[in-house]
Amino acid sequence: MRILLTSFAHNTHYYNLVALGWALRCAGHDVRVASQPSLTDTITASGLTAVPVGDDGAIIELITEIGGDLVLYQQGMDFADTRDAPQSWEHALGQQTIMSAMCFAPLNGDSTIDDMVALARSWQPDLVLWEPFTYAGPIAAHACGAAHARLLWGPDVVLNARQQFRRLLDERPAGQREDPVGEWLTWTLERHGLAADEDTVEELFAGQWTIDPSAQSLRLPVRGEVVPMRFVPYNGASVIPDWLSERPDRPRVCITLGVSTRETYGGDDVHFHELLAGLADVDAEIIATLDAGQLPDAGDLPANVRVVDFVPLDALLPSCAAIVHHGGAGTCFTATLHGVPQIVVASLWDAPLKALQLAEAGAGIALAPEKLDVHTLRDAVVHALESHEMAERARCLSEEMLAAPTPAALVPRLERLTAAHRRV
Amino acid sequence: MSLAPTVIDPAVVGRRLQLTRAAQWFAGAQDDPYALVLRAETADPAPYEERVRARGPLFHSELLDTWVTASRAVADEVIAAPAFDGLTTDGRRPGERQLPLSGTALDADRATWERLGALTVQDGPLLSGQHRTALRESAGAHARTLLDGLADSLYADGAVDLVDTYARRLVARVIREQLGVPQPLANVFDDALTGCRGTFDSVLCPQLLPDAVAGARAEAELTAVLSKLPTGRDPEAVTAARALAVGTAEPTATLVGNAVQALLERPGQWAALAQDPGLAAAAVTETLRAAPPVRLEWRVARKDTEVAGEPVPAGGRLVILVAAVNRDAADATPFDLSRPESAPFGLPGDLYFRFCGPLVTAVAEAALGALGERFPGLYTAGPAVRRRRSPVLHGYARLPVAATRGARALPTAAV
Repeated sequence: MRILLTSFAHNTHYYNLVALGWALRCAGHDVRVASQPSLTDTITASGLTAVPVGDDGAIIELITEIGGDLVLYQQGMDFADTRDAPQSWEHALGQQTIMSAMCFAPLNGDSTIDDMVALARSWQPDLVLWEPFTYAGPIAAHACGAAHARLLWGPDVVLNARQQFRRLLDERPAGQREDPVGEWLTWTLERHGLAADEDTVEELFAGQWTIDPSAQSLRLPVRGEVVPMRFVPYNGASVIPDWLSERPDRPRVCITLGVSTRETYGGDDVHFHELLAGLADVDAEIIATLDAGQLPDAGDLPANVRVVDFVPLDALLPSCAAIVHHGGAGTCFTATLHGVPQIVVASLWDAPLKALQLAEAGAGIALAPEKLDVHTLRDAVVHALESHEMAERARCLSEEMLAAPTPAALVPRLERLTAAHRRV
Repeated sequence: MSLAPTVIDPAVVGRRLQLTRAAQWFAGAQDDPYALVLRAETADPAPYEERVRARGPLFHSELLDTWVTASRAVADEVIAAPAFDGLTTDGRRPGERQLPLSGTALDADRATWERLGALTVQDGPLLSGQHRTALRESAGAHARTLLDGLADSLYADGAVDLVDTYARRLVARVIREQLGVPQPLANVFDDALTGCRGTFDSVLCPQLLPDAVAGARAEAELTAVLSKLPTGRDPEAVTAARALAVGTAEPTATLVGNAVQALLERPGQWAALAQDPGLAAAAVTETLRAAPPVRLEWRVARKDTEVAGEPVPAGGRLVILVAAVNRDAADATPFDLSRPESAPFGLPGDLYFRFCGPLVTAVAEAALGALGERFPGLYTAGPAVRRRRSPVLHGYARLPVAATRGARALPTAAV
């Protein structure tokens, strides 16, 4: 088969596709990866074949428009509180409005979609596997008759919100219906001479099926065919440092809070080195991953803290007793896979929901960013290290993830699904 | 015919409209009360308008770059102040880049409107003295003709949409007559005029892409029709005629709908009008106060100025919340036909309403008087539905009514 993988140009969003891409390649399939040109080096570094499409114009236009702070525009998205309860129409419509304008449309600019459709029409893939924001993928698949499926990197908040929205939309009186995502998909399809009826829009939105690496008990109750797959981490180019080969003589805790953390969370008065100083008397080895701009003066660091620029989490986490992180997709999946209790300081997109789910499962602690300070962090770390129950619950989630078929084992099922859905 | 929208890439326009709408949603999520007014997703915007008032006589929405008032004193001051006008000194509308394909029929400054006012009918200024009486009589005749045609459906309990089948048709006929649109062009004119119903809303609130495209097309159609009139060679006369048509049509339809709904919702009020159709003028005034058809009026500061002690820079946009301004009075009460004469903020006469306003009220009076006289047993036959994306007019998607034969109005369902 010819299989087109696609992710908008963001390295960690792409990383989630790599293991399955290689599994398909190793099964003898022809695999190509389409993304905007700025991802080309990342794709080729992963050993797969890149096809540059479009440009980054639409996302640059958006960033220019809103002054660069996408975090601000996440406010009011709120996937955690609305997980089960039907939202109000007003809230659901607002979510769709902001998702369409601030996320889906700019990440899939016209030139990207144009090139992707042209690529699909000329290369004629049998299957398009797409990162869940990269709607250029299913649009191109629809244009050439290929089967298409999403590969999730977290709980399916987008489809859950969509299905809640659709239910409320159907209750609206004629004259008061409005569907921003449908509107965007409609005019986008029409640009390529494709009709956009309601079923087509929903199929493009959800994928013909969804490959889900999440632990089974953490999946949201969305309709549609879900294909479980074991998460196999890909951390990019990885080298194991010497210190990682030695067994730690006391519990190890990883802290990785992302670049935006220092700027956005905890107010102006909490500095990263203060948070680390607060862990000085905890009987643990603290591994803090920081980039150069985040590095505090060495003199500020407690003796039990090791600062590293980058370490592959897949190699580090098996030796960790706990991790503090911001709820990023790869970090969260990798920690869950390795059964590590997680302290999640979350604000972006689905991260607050993941923090809540882990806390509910007893496998982690949710720390609101605005409440993050020296004491709350220290208390959480100590609790995570001391709680046998949390370690046990984290192991249970790990077993759930390990129970799903590996990417390699999944290939025959994907071949069957492709044959069933492909229109050519 | 070559129309502008066909050369515009709908994806570019659509994306821009969605971004602007998303910014309004985002500002609303940040508790910006003006954004909540613009979102217009609730049946009654009054609670959001009151939240603007709670922020002081002049609220500055930083996220949406607009000054907003619910104060009668501020509203009166702005309408009278030479510093405020319909367009910037270089002839632009604030925020027009954010709202592509929005209606332009009402874009002009005060000086221009003063000049155009003289061109609105072939014989000169519209609706002075005797002309107004004649107009009301002719509008009344058109109303009675339309109602004759609707009688069977109304009595059949068939839920007739009063706004579309009556108010919009009536006002279109009257405008056609005023402008001298010949019968062969009547249908094209009426369709184009109905197609422009989003004009008021489109200048503050992004419309859905198909509606925005249709609105721009309709505006071009309307211009084309008016250019075929004897006066059509003069571009200023076309502009004036278009403004008269667009500025009158949907506000009148909304005013009639608002009045009928208010009268039917309150026991005895419709019956009172039916008994004395002369109360139509009072009904119009009371509707302008309690349920104004144009809820948002915007002006732009031509130079750096000060309002309610707050600096408003040149180019700054100021929005008046008309309904809230009318509530800004010691004796503000719900709709009541028997209320002593009030002086609502109404349709301010500094811009296009200088000549559209009298036509709006005259047609609405004729429409209400004829309707009350002919159908004393009118009742609402289903929920009234307001268009979304319509924060300015709260325009109707439909207002279903029916009528019993006989003089007594039935109790009406709450809408």
